[in-house]
Amino acid sequence: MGEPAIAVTGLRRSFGPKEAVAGIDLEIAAGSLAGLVGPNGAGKTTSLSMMTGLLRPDGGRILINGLDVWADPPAAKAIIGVVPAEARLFERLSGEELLEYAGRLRGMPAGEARSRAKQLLDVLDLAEDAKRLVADYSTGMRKKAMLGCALIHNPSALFLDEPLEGVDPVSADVIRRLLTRFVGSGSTVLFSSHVMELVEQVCDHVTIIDKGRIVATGTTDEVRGGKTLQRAFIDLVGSRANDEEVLSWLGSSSS
Amino acid sequence: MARLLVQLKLRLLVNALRASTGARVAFILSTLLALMIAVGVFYLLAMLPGGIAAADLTTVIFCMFALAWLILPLVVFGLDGTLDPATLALYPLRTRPLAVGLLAASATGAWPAATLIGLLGVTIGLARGAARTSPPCCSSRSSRCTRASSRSCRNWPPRAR
Repeated sequence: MGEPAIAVTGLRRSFGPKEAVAGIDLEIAAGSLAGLVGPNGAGKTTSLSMMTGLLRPDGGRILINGLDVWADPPAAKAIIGVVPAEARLFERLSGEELLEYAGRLRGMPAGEARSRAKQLLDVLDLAEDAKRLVADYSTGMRKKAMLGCALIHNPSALFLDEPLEGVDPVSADVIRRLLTRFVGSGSTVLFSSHVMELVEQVCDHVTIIDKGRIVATGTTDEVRGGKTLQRAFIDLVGSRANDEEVLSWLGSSSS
Repeated sequence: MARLLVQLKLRLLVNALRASTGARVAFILSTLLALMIAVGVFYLLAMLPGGIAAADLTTVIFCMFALAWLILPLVVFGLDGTLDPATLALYPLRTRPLAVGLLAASATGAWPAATLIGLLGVTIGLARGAARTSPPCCSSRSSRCTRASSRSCRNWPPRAR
């Protein structure tokens, strides 16, 4: 394990009085497939936005392959790929054109962008829908198209926010296989998710955050400590199931 | 960068037109209207007789265009292939080329062209008007006498008080 691919120190960000991210330190080795899990509102999206040069942190530093993201955001964006949770795409482009322009906006020559777009669409199982407008794509297809846009320049680190949210099992499998193959070549992936089974299955590194702080980080085995990740997560974050008395009427069909 | 963003904007426009007949009809009508306004305003500005009233009318026309561009894009929508800067946030684009590119892309279209052509009519109007309103002394006197000093020209020679 050499220099970490992603190194975050003291990352902070507040929205008004609410501290969304309250000092995060995180190191992810090159070639790892890392998961970031946490309950809703834990600061996952905020953290990822800051790491990808989309949201300026109040404090802290992010190095990707030794490059300080906020010292020169365009330079950092050039070596990373991002799949945000909320898709902002050019709706009036076809899938094929979307990927081609994604390549060209990153300075690739048109011919190269076009041939890579075609290959990616094949791998993503979108070849048949390559000529359809992105506006007509389903959620799963949009996620796959966004993944294609994020990979077209062969980034050294890939960030995904809830990549499998609302995606059908077939598309999810395509995405999962592509990510596994991508890290196999020495690139790094960091993604956030709610789905513990998925994180447990594919990630070799897991970080659990809650209320803007890291509560556990390490290899998947270290973090779960002999339990399932789901159990470990609930234990760490704290179950909020104290509503049995209050909702006594719920599900009672006898009365 | 500017060329790429203009290409992207045109591509979005063409695809939008391909997608629906309504969009095509709206586009054709809108382009025809833009053309009429371009020709009409050009003719009006070019044919204005010189004088103070013409200058005032020109000012009013320019102000109307400025106001229309401020307000209409907010209330009229429909065929809009505008590039949303938020969509471009993921790409490694530096601020200056991005700003120039977005400006170039937003200047691409029938209405910006109509505005440019229409308002260019003022060049002819100004040339003709200036020729007509220049006090005769200006043509007979040396080039020292500019438009700015035309009022003093008119009062030449100074009357004794």
